[in-house]
Amino acid sequence: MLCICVWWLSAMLKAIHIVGIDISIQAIYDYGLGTQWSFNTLWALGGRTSLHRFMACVAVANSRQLLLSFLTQIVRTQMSQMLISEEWRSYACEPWKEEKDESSLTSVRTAFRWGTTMVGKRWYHAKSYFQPPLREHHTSASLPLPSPLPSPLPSPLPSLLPVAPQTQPVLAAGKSLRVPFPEEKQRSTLFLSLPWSYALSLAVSSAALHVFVSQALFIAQTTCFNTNGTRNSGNDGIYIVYSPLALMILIAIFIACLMGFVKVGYFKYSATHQLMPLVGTCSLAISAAYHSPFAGDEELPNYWLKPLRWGAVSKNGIERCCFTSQEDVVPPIPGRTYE
Amino acid sequence: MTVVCILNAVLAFFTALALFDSIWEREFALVILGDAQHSFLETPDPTTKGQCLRSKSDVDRYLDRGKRWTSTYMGQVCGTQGKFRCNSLSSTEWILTLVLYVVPFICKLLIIY
Repeated sequence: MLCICVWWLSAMLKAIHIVGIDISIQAIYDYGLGTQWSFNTLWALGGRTSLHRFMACVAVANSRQLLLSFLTQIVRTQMSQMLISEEWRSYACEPWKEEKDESSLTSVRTAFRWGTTMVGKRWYHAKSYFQPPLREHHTSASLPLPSPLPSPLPSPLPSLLPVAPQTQPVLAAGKSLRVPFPEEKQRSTLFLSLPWSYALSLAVSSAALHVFVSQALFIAQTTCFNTNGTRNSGNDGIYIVYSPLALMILIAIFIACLMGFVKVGYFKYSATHQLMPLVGTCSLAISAAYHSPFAGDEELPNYWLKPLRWGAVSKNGIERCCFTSQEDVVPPIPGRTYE
Repeated sequence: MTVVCILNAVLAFFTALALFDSIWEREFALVILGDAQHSFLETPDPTTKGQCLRSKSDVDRYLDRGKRWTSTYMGQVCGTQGKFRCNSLSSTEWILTLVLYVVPFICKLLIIY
């Protein structure tokens, strides 16, 4: 597709060049935004009065804005759909991941950070040894890489310490619900309803597209005078004019937006997140995940106000995947049947 | 510019009206996903009991012409559903978006021509 477009573009540029218009980058830059030249006038629309002609030109030049609004609205909706699904899947219970070891000398940056923390806070190094195993059953505590600097404390060697046998994977902390009017531990909504990076890039791209669309096709009015300085209103004209520079920038922004949108869609979920159904905004599918077998008796009172996890729980032989505040929730096992 | 401002103000007014109207009526408004989650946790929906792994595509499959829920099947096998973020949109929606991106692009090339 892109190849065809590039080929088409080059063929047309060649054709324009034959007509005698300078199409070098410098020339296109010099044509600028909002200037009328002999070659870039598209239409002079007819009409009985000058007002009719003017309104016709306004309608034609601005119809692109309407189409663009339609496009940006659809992209915004679909981006929200994808991010809602991600929000939904973020509740899936996942094995707790160890935080990145501060003392590992993997890069110059971490080495620099390690050095500064060593100098600044001598206790920090010891803290980074002891902090990860604070969560229970943490067996895979990694040893720090051999470091050139002497350690301020004798290393406790966590892997040699006796560790209780693992019965259940240690899970990441649950998440509380995100609602507009939060109570207790619930989280409030985001300021722009999407995360900052997405909301800002959407707003900036749509604003830039609207600006350059308005510059790419615009209205030019000419006022005629005779050589002796008197007015010649009979030869006045209203034209729709395009700007090559704005069109080039617009094409670049369009390609960037398209690539960004595809990039957002190409994020891969983790293995445990992939097991959670994708519901989007379908209320029937959403409701299916809220039948906790513990509801009423063993769940915390008002457990919708507390942090929640989605995962498999079992009670009286019933195995079910649901949102729950229980601690003995596990990630569902692929191939097993759940009610 | 003025027209755009006025239309946006009208849109904001009706959105606010819908929000506050539902709060006054039921003391509860479904605005975002979290509200739906809260609501279903407080009062579970008996229609979908025992079908905990239903996804959006399942719902499209099992709704009959009268938009009634026909599936009474209890229990579902757990499996991988949608590896990528783009799987939350149907292929039709993706094609629509890509076509909407490509059509203006071709129009611009035509204008340059």
